[in-house]
Amino acid sequence: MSEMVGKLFGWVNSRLPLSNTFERHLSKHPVPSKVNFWYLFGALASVVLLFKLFLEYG
Amino acid sequence: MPYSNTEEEAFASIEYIMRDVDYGWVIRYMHTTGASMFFAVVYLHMFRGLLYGSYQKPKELVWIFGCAIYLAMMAEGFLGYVLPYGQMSYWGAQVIISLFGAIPYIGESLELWIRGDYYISGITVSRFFALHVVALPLVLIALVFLHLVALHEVGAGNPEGVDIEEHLDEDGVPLDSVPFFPYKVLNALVGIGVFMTVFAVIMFFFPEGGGYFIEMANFEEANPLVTPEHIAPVWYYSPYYAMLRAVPDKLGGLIVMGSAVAILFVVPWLDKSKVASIRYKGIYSKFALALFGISFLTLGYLGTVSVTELRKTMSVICTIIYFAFFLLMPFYTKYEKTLKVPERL
Repeated sequence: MSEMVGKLFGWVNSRLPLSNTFERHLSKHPVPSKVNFWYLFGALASVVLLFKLFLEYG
Repeated sequence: MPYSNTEEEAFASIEYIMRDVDYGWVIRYMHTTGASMFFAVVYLHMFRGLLYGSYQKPKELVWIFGCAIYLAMMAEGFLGYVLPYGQMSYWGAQVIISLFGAIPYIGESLELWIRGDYYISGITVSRFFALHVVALPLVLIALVFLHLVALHEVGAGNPEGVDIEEHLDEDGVPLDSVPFFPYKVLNALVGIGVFMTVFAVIMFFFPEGGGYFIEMANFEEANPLVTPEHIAPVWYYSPYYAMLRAVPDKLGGLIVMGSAVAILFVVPWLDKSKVASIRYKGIYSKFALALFGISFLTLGYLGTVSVTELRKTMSVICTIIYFAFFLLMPFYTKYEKTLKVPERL
């Protein structure tokens, strides 16, 4: 089962940049090691936007 | 969808959501609190940009997309505020839409085109609903996407204004960096937890925010025959409203208001400083930013209260300081003594 899932993922991944995008923008995306609390508000703004887009569309 | 975008039913449908729809009040208060919190974090996010020079080369486009997001948010918020069709919805829309009427030659036709009617009516509400739930959210999503893609291309800044690309390891990764996932994501979760707590306290205990988040006059249905005693916007527009009222001429007010937002877009080219962070800028920049912050907050207060002679004079002074901060920036950032930025973060 897991082998099949792995194969399917491999098939899609070689046609669509799944792991590339994950690495480029998340797991290997370098961000400055030392920032202060002022750098939090961008993340909070995206949280509120996601709230509005997914939770409040009744 | 229990909300009805018609003149007859809009106001009553909101009350129906609040009283009869199961947990409808949670959804609505989440939405109104969310609007205020969205602006609160975006204002802090923008101030961070001014503090640490987040707009400087090569991050100009990140900043410009950010300004466009702010502009789209202001439009989105205004459209949404009209939908419950309360007294402040109606009269707020009256003030804002009639501003477009001040534009020479095309003003009157433009006003008519926006309203879709000779006065604000169900037709206006109906089109504002479409723009609020479909058109502008799509614009916002697109702009946020561009904001993030541009940011990831040039890399995030830091409070020291150090260029971390200067010192790379053998793989070409900056030495003073960590991977966004999981380090920054987990880090941000702590802040998100604190933020959600504040959000929940407001939402459950102070949803009206003392009349600053939801204005009291909006608990009355729109009445074109009765002007509220005191028309004021919600807190996140009030600095610009104070500027509008500081100018006696309607067209002049519109120009001042528009320029106040437009000038944000060109900040990357107004700052001539060799350093990015306020920590290494000179005394003029620190003084200017502090004065700017105080004036903006003062304008915010003045925009929520009624006009007196003294308040009008204060609005004029604060508006002048607001523009002076930007227009004098090329001079005070160029001719001040800056400190040396360290090599490493």
